[in-house]
Amino acid sequence: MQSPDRRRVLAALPALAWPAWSPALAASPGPTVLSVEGAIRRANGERAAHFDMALLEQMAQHRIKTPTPWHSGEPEFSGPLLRDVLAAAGADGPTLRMWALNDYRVDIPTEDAQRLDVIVARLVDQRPIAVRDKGPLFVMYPFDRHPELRNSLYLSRCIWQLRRIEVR
Amino acid sequence: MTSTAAPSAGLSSRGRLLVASGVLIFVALASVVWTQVRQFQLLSLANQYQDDYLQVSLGHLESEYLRLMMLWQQAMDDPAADRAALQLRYDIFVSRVSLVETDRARRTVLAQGDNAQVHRLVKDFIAAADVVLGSGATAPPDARALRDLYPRLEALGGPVHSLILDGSHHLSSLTTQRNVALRETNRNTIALTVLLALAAFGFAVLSLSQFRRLDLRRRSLENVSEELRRARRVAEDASAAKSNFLANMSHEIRTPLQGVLGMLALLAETPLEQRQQERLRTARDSADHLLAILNDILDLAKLEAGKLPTSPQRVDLHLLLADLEALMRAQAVAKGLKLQVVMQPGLPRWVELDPTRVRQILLNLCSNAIKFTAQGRVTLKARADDARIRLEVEDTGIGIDSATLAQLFQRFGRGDESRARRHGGTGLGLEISRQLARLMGGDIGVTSVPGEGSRFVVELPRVDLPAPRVEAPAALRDVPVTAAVDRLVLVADDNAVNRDYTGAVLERLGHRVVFAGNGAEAVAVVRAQAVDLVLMDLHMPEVDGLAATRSIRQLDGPRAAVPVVALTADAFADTRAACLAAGMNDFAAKPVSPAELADLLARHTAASAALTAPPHPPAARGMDLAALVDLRILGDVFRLLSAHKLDSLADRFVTEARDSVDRMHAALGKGDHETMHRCAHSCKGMAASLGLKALADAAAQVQQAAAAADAAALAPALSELEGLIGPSRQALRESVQAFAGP
Repeated sequence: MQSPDRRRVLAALPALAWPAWSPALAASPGPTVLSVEGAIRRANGERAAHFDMALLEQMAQHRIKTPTPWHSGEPEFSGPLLRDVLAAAGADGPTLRMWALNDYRVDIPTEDAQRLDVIVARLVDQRPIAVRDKGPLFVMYPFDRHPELRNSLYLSRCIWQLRRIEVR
Repeated sequence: MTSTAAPSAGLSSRGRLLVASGVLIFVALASVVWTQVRQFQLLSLANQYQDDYLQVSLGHLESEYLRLMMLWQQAMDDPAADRAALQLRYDIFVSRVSLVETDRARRTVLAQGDNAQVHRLVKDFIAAADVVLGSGATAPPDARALRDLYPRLEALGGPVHSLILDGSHHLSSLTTQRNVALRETNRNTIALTVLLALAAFGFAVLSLSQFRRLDLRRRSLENVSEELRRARRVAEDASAAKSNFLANMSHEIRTPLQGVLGMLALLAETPLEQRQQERLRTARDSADHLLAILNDILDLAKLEAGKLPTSPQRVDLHLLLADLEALMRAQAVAKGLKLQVVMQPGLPRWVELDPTRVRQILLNLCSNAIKFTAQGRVTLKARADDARIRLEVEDTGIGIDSATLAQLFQRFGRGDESRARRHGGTGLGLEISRQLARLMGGDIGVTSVPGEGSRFVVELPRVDLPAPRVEAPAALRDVPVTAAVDRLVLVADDNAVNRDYTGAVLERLGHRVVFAGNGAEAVAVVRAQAVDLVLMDLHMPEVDGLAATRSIRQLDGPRAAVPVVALTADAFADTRAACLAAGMNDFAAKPVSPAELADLLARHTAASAALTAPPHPPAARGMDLAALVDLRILGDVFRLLSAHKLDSLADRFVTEARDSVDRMHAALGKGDHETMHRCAHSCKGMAASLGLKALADAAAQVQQAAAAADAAALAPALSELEGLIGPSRQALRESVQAFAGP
């Protein structure tokens, strides 16, 4: 009953969000740090939407300040919203398969991105993240505003050294 | 007693068990909560995830190490190999190393065996490799540099492997510990839950059995009360049977007793010596007493059987109390007591009561009060509220102690025995009185202070009735209609109280009285004076009533024919026959009420005197008194005021009326109808309040004419009014005299 409706809404969301930032996916002349592939409707490369740091930086930036199992203290993560990134690529699929640099992967529901302000963090404490510091991109859930998310499931979805998103 | 004490002890131990199981349930529940909280804490510790994640990371560290080795070898062998890929791979390896540097990892993985040493080796290698591959590397990594570093990288293989193994094992054991702890708390929870279930079950069983016990107890109580009801019914039946028997026996005894009394009376007529007479008198007193007891018993039996009817009727309560006062006064005076009857304001006059029963009750209470009071006073207070009439008999007598008070109204429960013996009486009077009061919807209560006196309070429901439509003025009715003629009556009685009482009533009736203390004296009085009537007690010392009557009848002249009426307490056919045989004219039972006495006088003096017709207030000159005065209204006024006051009021009224008439004449001359109207109105009001109805009517006429400004009618009306003043005054005076008696 609910899921077709929800799917229709989700499908409509990127279209609604589309005019918000750019009429077309811009080219990304710099080194690609993130590729969105699979069920997407917009691309700037061969069947893929490639993002360089500059492109990600142009998008609206959000901040999440939270302790994590991988950091000491309470670092502040900042970067574009995952749903903005997906919208830019015209992603249209219920599942996001996230790949890390070392080919580690985890599947997260697209709904997470729509429902929660999940970000693709490109800065920690306002500084770019080195690969050795689990960068350059770090998916972060809004644990600060949603303490109830602080469990194994959502922590495992916080993939770091993000390189590729396969929309399925 | 013990049968009720034992279950209650069982109950309390059961109660303790119930409380204990309740407490147990509470403690078990609290423990379950505590355990659950602990379990929640165990589960929610981030350590679990961290350790799991660390486990995975350790795996990653080894695989990244191996992948780095592979790429490194390729880069050494093939100068064309992708140096950037190597650099990335190297960075990824470094990032994996940082995973074992978190606080948690330092406390777990690195704390094991030589792991800290291994970590330092790895860090040393990274420090050296960073020169070639790090972000701060100045030149792109060349094959030589890579080859130089390779042995160090390769040397890390063993230690890193052992670090990963030790760390993994340690993390596994931590997980196992946690699982054990969880299982433990789980087991505790289960145990507690079982305990809880048992306690709840126990609680339920106890409650159930408690309910069952209560039910049983209730049922047994019901049985007991049913038995009690049955026993009570049986007892009541038995009591009724006994009362019935007693009543029957009393009745049976009364018949021969009447024979005894009759015989005693006859015996008294025979010539007896002084000592014989005394013995005869004692025998008679005893027989009288016995008869009184039998009558009381009969009354009581009738009351119990519900056969004593009350007949409520319209009663003049004020008159009833006044009669009572008259009856009791002699008794009180004989003992030197003050008797007071106080009717408080608001006491209704016309009420619905059974006068016979009320009188019986009050007589009983008053004679008791007099009986038990040596000095002081007996007061009968009457008052009323909206619902009840309260009649209080108060004395300054010996009082009643609380123990006696408690059983005062019970059968034969009369003060203490010695007191009873001292004062006589059947002891049934109070019970009869109370039952009568209850029969009439009221009750009797008593308060008393020993040594200071007692107060009996009769409460009766108040039912007001309108005054009867045609009512003779009370004073006239009170004193029956022989008032106008004064007779000389001889009262022959050896009892001073009886003598005084009868004398007082006769005097109140307007007659003169002479007394005789015994038969011989009575004969002497009749011989010496022209007596109109002789009231003769039958039993007197020396010469009794019968003998005296015979002597009188043997006198010479008209005095032998004087009417003689016997007064006696025993009203038997035999006695009556003896009286008539002795030449007596009539026979009356003692005590004789004023009405009876008046009746007797009327009956027996009619033959010798002409004036036996009911007296009529003398007619005013030329006018019928009844046309001038409304006796009913005047009677009411008379009850409120003394004759003297009424007389002076009448004088004042006449003066006022004449003044009024003078003013009206003056006003008539001036045509001042308003003044005439006002004067006539006030004149009419005054006249009407005194019952001067003709005068009031005439005043009304004047008032009417004045209102209509009818000059032609005014003058004759005024002169009629004026002409009525004198005759009205006269009629008023005569009526007052008639009320007041001579």
